[in-house]
Amino acid sequence: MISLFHPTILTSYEDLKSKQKPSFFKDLGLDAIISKIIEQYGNADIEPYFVELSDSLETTKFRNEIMVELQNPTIRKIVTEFVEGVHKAEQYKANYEAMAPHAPQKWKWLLDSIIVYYTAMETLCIKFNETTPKAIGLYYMHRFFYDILNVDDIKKLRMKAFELNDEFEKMSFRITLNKDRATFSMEKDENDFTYRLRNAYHHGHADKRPQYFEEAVFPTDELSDLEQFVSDLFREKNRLLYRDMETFLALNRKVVSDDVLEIVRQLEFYLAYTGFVTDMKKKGFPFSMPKISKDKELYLGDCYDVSLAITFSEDDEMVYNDIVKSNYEKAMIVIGPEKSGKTTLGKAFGQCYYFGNMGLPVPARIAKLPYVNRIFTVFGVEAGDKDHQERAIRSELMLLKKSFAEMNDTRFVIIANELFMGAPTVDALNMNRSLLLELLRRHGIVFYITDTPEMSGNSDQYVTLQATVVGDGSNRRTYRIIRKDPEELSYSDSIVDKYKLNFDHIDFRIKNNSGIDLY
Amino acid sequence: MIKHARLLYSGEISAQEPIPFFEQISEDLQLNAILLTMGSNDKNIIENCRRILSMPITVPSELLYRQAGVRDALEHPKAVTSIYNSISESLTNIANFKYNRRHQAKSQDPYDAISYQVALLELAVQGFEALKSNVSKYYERFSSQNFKSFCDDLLAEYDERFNDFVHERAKSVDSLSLGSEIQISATIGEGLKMRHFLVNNLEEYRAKHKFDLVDSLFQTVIKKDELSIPHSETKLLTDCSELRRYGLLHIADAYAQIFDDFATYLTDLRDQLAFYYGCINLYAAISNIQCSTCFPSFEHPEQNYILADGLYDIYYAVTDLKAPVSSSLTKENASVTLITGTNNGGKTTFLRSLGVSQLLAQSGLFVPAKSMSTGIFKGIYTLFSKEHSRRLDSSHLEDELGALSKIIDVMETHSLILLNEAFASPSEKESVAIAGDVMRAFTNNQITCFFVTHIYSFAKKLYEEDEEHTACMQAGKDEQGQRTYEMVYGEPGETGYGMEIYKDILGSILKKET
Repeated sequence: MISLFHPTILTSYEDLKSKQKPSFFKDLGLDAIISKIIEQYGNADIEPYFVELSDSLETTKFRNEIMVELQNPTIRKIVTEFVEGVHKAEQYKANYEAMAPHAPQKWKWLLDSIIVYYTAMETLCIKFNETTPKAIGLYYMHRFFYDILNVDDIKKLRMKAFELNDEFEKMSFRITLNKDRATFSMEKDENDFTYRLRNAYHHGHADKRPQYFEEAVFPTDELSDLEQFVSDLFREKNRLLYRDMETFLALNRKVVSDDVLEIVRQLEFYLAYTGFVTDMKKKGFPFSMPKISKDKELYLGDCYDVSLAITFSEDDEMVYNDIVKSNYEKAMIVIGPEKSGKTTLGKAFGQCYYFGNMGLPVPARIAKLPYVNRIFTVFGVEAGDKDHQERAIRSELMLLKKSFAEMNDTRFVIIANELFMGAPTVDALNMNRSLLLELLRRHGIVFYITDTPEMSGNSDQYVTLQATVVGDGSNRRTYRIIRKDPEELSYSDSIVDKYKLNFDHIDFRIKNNSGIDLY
Repeated sequence: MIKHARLLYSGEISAQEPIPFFEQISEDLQLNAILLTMGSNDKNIIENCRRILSMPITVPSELLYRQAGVRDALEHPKAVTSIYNSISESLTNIANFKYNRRHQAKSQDPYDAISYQVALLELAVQGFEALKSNVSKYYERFSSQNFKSFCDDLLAEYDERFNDFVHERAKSVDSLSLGSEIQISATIGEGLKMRHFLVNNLEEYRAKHKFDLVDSLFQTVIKKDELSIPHSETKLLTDCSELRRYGLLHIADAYAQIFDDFATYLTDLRDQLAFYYGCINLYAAISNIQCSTCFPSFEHPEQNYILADGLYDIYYAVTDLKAPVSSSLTKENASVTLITGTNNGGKTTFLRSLGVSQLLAQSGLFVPAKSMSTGIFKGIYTLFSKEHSRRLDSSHLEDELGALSKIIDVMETHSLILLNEAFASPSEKESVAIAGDVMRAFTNNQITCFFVTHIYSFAKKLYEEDEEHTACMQAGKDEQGQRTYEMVYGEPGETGYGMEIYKDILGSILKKET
């Protein structure tokens, strides 16, 4: 058995089902995003996979490779067809189970289930021989299926199933209908009436392949009266074949193996996310495959909160932000007035980290992220009246304590959002400063959102991101948050920055549009 | 399948992509007046000329191919307009038929569906016959590959046997509803369900002659390998009737597919010819007022340059019906050309004449100039400050930079951009900073920019810093100091956005006080 989530460890769907969602899911709005992804993919049973965080850079890259591979339309088509084939086999099996015990149609559904299942697997193997995927996970999968198809018992089973099926494929008939008479014959007739018409039009060079009409004349899974009539006639004529089919299938009722079903669900996880990203891109929201690295340099260009984007109508306009940090800086302090987009930016940042860790494309135009294996979020608790303030602070501190206990090494990111709001100003400032120092000491990546301006300033260890307002005196929020000292801000700067129209940005954008290598 | 006519593209590309923001470019360059002249009251010509102008060609060989087609059309206007009119008439007949028989088109009765599709096909074939007859009159006159290939393909490939076949079907189709026999074959598929339905045969009702009567009697005897489906089984007969309906609709669909091929060919041909018809109309209008035109040359298509002599604004030519003032462009290496000078001096008109000429040139048309040599730009963009929004407040700058940002989102190197009074901010220092960054990025990416600006300090700084790649033009004046409306090269002048008006209004008072 293999897994498409980990290069060495098997991921059991049942185990994941019982696993609790990390607490940051709620803070980062991931629940809504995941629900949307699953809904768009037809409510497939893939939710448990979203809690399977990567435990190493190798694992993230292992998944990342699969995701990159699925951007290739040829590979995606092969994988999608395989998944559809297995589902079709499952559906035919369900049809078999739903039929009355002695219905001949019942056994034919089971035979079809076997045919469709192994055809899907064989087709994938053949096509992967022609277009070999580079992702190691897909390579393992290819080998796994190849081995299944070459087990002796499976080979015999397939051979017999296809032999039986070939006999059914030969069954054809014709019905002649006129005003007062209908006759049936088992004689084959391949003459296509429309060919005469097409051939006249194409000067004698029309496509000779018959043009069937495949519309659902009798759309239900059950047989119509006419189909039953025809089926009975064929059964009468081929008694031995029908008996042979029943004997063979009575011993081979299990079709799709549990291992293959597990792989199909994992593939669906990747396909569902690919579909979601494609849909978001069509709506104008950028996604990019992040470069995950061992160093601590971080660049997120045009990142945004996906949980907000999925609620947008066509008229809504998203504000995108950049987050940049050098290899030596550890923390990003986000300051600015209330409701200026700080928490939204925190969510966007966290989402990029979560999806990046999972090996998936992130909601940003360009992304480079230092690898982490733990994500912590501590979001301030609404204090309300004075009686609840102390309780709120306690609750925040308890959460912090728990997070500190789980920080085993420096490979973590923490998003602290407006903490200690219930405390008196001086206390809040002291607590925030002390907490920040402690976090810096642990050498992780810190995203610290606060409405306390005294926390701002630049140092060797951290940078300040400032939420901007329109400089016309109205104090209107732009929801743009930029890396700059507050005193450096001017009126047109914020607009130029909003539209990315300084030299570097324009130069980058034109070169990028022109396919000029930027690195 | 009728071979697609290649009047507009030789086939190296099937069609050029429309340029972004064409609606805005059209408004800035006032293309509507030109399009109205091209269309001469035919909406289809206007729309197709608009469509073609929105897709400037970027492949040199295609551009020369288009130019050859336009030259040929201008030499044989009667042939082009006559072919166009013949197709338009056929398509109108088809549209009228569809309208009059719209209820039949939606009918669930399969006989109705077949009858409707055959009648439509017959109309399309008639239209095709008329087209062929018309083309045979003119085809020897054309010299361009565009028109010659189209005529050759049409006359060679059209098979009259099909025409007879369709007329025959049309004659017999009504008898179908009187009684017919259809034979359908199928196979056993998944879950024992029927699949791969195929109509083997369909026989219309025939009046029973002596011979047919014998044949008919023979038919009533069930053949050896046949089994009669019992009449007593109502559900079975209902299924049979449904199968028959699907079979007949399948045949109607086969007719519909062929009709669609004809209709698509005729519509596509009419739309291609509409562009040439528009060129003929525009050329006639300009010739009437004796203005110069020329076909531009593209000696260095990969380079960014525009050289022109006697370039004028075609908008004024077709609206005022007289020859407008012209200007010349002689600086080959200027990636940024700054246009300064007093208001109402002809700066915007000049910018418009440039934009229109480049659009016409890259659409394969003649241009409003005595001569023109130009590169082929990957993109053409305009950013014109609107008169009514020339207020120096935050929302104006925000709107303008928002619009520029959308252009940058799609702009590639080797593009042309025309800026008209952009980057006006409440503070000149800020305007200079913005404009400086933008121009530097343009120059760095081989973007050719013509920039009408009132930011004198910026113009002066840029001109002094990079004289090699920066040119400056301003409205000329005659010996008496009167505006000539011709743009001439020189150093950036004080734009005097206010001073000229100030002097105009207060000049005499100030003199008195002095």
